[in-house]
Amino acid sequence: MYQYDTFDRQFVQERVADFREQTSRYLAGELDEEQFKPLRLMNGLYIQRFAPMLRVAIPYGILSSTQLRMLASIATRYDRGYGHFTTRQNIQFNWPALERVPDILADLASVDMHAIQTSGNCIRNITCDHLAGVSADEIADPRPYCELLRQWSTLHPEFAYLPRKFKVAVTGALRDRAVTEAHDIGLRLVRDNTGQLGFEVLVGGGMGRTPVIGKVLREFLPDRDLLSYLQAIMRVYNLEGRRDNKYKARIKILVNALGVEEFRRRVEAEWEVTRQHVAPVEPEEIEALRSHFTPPPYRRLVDVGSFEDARVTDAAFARWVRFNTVAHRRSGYRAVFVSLKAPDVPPGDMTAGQMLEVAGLADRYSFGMIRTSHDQNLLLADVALDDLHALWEQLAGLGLATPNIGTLTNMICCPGLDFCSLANAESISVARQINELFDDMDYLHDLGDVRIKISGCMNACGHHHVGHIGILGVDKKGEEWYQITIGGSAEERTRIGRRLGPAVPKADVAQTVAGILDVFVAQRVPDETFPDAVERIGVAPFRNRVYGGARS
Amino acid sequence: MTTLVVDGRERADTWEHLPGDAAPTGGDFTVDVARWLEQRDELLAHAARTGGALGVRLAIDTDPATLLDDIRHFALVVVEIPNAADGRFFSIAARLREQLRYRGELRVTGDVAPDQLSFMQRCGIDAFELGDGVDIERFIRRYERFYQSSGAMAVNRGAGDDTIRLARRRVGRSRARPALGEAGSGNEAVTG
Repeated sequence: MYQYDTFDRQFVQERVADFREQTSRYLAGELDEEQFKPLRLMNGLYIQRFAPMLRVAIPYGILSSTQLRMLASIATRYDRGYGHFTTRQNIQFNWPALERVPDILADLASVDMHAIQTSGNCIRNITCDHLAGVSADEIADPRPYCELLRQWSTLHPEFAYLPRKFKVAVTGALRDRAVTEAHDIGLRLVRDNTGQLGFEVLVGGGMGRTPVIGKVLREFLPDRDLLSYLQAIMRVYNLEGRRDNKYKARIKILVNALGVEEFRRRVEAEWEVTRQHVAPVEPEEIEALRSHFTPPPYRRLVDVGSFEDARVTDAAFARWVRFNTVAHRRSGYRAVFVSLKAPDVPPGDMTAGQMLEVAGLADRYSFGMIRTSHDQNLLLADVALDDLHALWEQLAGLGLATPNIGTLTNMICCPGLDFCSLANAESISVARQINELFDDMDYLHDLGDVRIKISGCMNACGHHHVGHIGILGVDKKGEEWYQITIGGSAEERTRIGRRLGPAVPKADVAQTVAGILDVFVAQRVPDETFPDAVERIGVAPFRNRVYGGARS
Repeated sequence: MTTLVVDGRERADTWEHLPGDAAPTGGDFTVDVARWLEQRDELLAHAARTGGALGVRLAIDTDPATLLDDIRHFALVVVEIPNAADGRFFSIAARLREQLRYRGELRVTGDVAPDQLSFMQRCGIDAFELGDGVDIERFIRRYERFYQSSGAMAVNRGAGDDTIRLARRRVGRSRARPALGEAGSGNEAVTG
């Protein structure tokens, strides 16, 4: 992983000192709420329903075991003993006291972490393919570029007060696991016909109230021009993005209003200026960054036989291997998902005790490294086959081996009304309801990879638009109702789900999902995914099943 | 009351900021963009006659490119900030320096937040009208390390090579390079 040097450390420590001073000015009444707000947001601190919420950056989802131990320690000392991993590969603490946040930031700084730009109208944490560097379908490793962008975007003086938040995702693989089409800027590493490395640049994707799939702004941008080109996009957006209505302030609205051709023309014109002022990224800079992401020292000899034996004799282990591990580019290794989707736990939540144990497992089995995924699980990305059985037993003992990755109950879920002051409805209890109804693992495994995503309001933190089955909490005269969409997808090709029909009451959500799945099971053709089935047969059969024929 | 700080030092404001169509009285003066565009020739003639310098005031929604052909006439550009959270002024400043190559005083007035001062400097703003009693030293010195180069500052300081890095873009051992003046702290050797 990227190793901080003196500059990075001093940079982060100085920001901690700033925030300590700003917090004391606020507490002393020298800064009012309005003046303090952008300063605390710049440091990841929200004022939530019951307490402040602190969101800590996990740059492109990579953590060392030392860092995970610190997160556990923070959860224990400043919070209620757990943390919540988010869809943008970060972690949130829901119960810190405002006065102690500077101390938390100082503790984070001691392990080269921070909360800078995890909220507010600025460039947020850069996210990335969680299988970067280990998947077989990779054109090039995106992580060195993520680190370049992390540095470039960190307290960029020109872009700290944008019209609205700004999210960037990077992938280097053929299969897009970073959902680049649903980001303000999506970057896909590609090679041109001369073999030169560069990016396909997407712009204007996003969720929220107006879900939009990103458009191709440039088919090939040489990697050396990445920063000057992004600077041009950001400048056009900063100057021309709407500021009169925060629901229309994202870049997707600007791109749609101008049309992508006109937006492109403006960016290209600005680029003529910025490329004279932002030095190109030289090959040696990229090389220097790449040196931080070299493969770990894999073992040459892995006892594959013992692994195969265990798989034959232990059905539960075999099932876990099938669902919670994925192929690795290095033979003898697999990448392991640590499921944070146990049926009785809010999706993405993890206790301090579990964090400590997983840090130990990472040290023992995966070179001391942990990753976070956008579907709110953790990964141990480099595990030898002959370690898998022991790892599985220990994860199972921790409640972290529910074999549900790639199944219905690997739900994405926002914190909802339980914690969030924006929410209209609960999300976590809906996830629990679904877990209770679908507790038959054999059925789930037979069902295959159907993805449910739940948001407690139209801000869409749970990405419901791109869920195969999307569930959106709405408020109807003080009651919680749920709008269901089907056929969305965040894989391969991003698709926005279509409305099933009128919202359903809370008590009926899981049954509604069951009805939808009945139709899918009855009508699917072999190997057909849920979104493909919806595309083929349309919404009507599902609607008829759920609401009865009368409404169709 | 406000305090004017130019290049880090308190200064008396010697400029006359003419409201509407008020007549200049003989010294240095500023007008808003609309008036400049309307009365360009008379204003130039007046300034030539009196020897006074010309300045212009931009609203937050003015595209600085409007002044592309005129920028050489100005010794002062003032950007009015209605609300500190409206970050357009950072890009307006960057455009004035980078695209229009403006090298005169670039001043902000209005809702000037002390916590933003060093960001403003990086974008090429070198004069601030602040509320009284602000500890300017503290805020200007706050950020000594930046990850980004600043083309805007390079233009402002008359650097021959605009791509010279005022901050180290921190990506490797080989990239540390001496740069201009006060940004030295941003250019210490990279340790890896």
